[in-house]
Amino acid sequence: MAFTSNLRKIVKSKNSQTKPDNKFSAENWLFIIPLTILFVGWELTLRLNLTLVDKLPLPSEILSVLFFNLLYNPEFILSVFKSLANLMAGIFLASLIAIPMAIVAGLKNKMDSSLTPLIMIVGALPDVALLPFFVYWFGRGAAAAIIMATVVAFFPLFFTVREGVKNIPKDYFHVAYVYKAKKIDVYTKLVLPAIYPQLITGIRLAYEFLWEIVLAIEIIASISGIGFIINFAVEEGSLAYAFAGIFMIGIIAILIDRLIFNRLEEKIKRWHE
Amino acid sequence: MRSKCLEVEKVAKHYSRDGTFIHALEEVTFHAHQKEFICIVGPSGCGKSTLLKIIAGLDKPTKGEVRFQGEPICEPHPKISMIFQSFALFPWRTVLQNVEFGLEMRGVPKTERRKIAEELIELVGLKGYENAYPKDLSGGMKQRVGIARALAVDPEIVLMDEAFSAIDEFTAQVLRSEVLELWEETEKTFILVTHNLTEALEMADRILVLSARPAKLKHIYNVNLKRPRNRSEPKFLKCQKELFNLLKSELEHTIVRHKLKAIHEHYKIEDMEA
Repeated sequence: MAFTSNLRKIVKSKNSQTKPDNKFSAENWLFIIPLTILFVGWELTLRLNLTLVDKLPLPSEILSVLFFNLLYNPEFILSVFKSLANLMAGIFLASLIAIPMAIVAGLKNKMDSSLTPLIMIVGALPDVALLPFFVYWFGRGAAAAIIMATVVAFFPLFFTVREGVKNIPKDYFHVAYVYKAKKIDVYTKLVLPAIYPQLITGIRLAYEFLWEIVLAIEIIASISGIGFIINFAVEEGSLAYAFAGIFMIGIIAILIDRLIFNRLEEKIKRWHE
Repeated sequence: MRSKCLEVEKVAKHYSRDGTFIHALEEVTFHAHQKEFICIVGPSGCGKSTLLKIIAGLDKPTKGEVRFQGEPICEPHPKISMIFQSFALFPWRTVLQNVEFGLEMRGVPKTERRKIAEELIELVGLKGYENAYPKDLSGGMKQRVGIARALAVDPEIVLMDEAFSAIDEFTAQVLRSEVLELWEETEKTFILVTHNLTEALEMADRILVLSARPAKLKHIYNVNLKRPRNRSEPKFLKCQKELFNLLKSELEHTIVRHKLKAIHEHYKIEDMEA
């Protein structure tokens, strides 16, 4: 029995090595079906005059504004890039601070018990409450948006990476020490690869939080970016334009999620249990 | 007599964990010779693994010292490598990259360490799996990778911490005989910590019997059986009985100790052992 089960395991491992995971990439785009249903339902409700809200634009109208007008508007495209740049800068800066801190907290119990409760308390505060301060100190510009984004991205990154470090089996370190790994190698060849899956999860979480916060900052503090454009369009009464801005964010968010994060996670799946 | 390769001299170890004082080892002394196969047995939780970690240089003894070829060990020695119960393969590395790890840490150039690693992978019977990841391997295959990694650095002493305990018995049996073959072909000293007496009798030249905690070296049992050993031979069974009797009283100690522990945990009495 043991022999056959072993054989089966061997055969299974051979198979999983050669078979690429095509299944997942198709599944990644299945959301388009309910999305289409939503749009069609929305369009029909409005056309049949079943709606309660005044001036809700038709999805067809929004899409035509987006694809035949806004996408060729340099100002709009620039705003999209500005928001995206603020978001990315936030994730980048937060990673620079959160990853080393999380590694220290994950490895050194004393640091963890003195630092982490404080970080938890600060993380539990509503982030947006900090915004007026940043605007006051850094002005209504990219600097305030980036700093705000950094603060918001810090917490999911810190906690996921710290968890990852804590979950590294002790024996991995024993292996490194037995073969006399240098300190730098313990970090670059053991800790960093070991926490890579949690790091991707952390960045993904931060990324999802950040769209909300970056838009909120732009709307509240009138910092230039797509949030500002949306707010401006609503105030002018051109709701189709405002919705087109929201659709644009949706499209970018899903593309980055599917094309970058999903691919990274697929790569991890090759070795991660 | 062959030269002394490893000298464990009056090694004692105590530490405190969660505020409880733990006396793990008490003055353990033994010597291992070149090309000797030593097994360390004892009741579970007695400090066998602590002793092995001290020899590996992963842990420092509170008293006493360990010498390798006359030199005291205070950190891991390049000529001593280790095989783990949990295999401890890096999941993000392929079989080849895992076997290469020790050489990589030593700064062996890429082409050279690749060549050595490929030879060892073939030696442990994993040819064709160089680029597989550990998650695709069975327990037995994982431990083969662990063995290859330990041998890649050409150690003089190979420490094995319950190396066969996490593998199904059938595979473990095959692996044991392969390890014995490897051992017979080389001049390396093997030290295996185990709680499996049959395994110890099958593999060891000498068996160190440790007592319950704090672990003392209770007995050194010389295994005078011809190799390859047969588990069903009357002589083997006789030795097994002798060895079991040596350990029996110790096992009873641990049982009593565990019971006491359970009782005082139940009533939240202060530590009765202290």
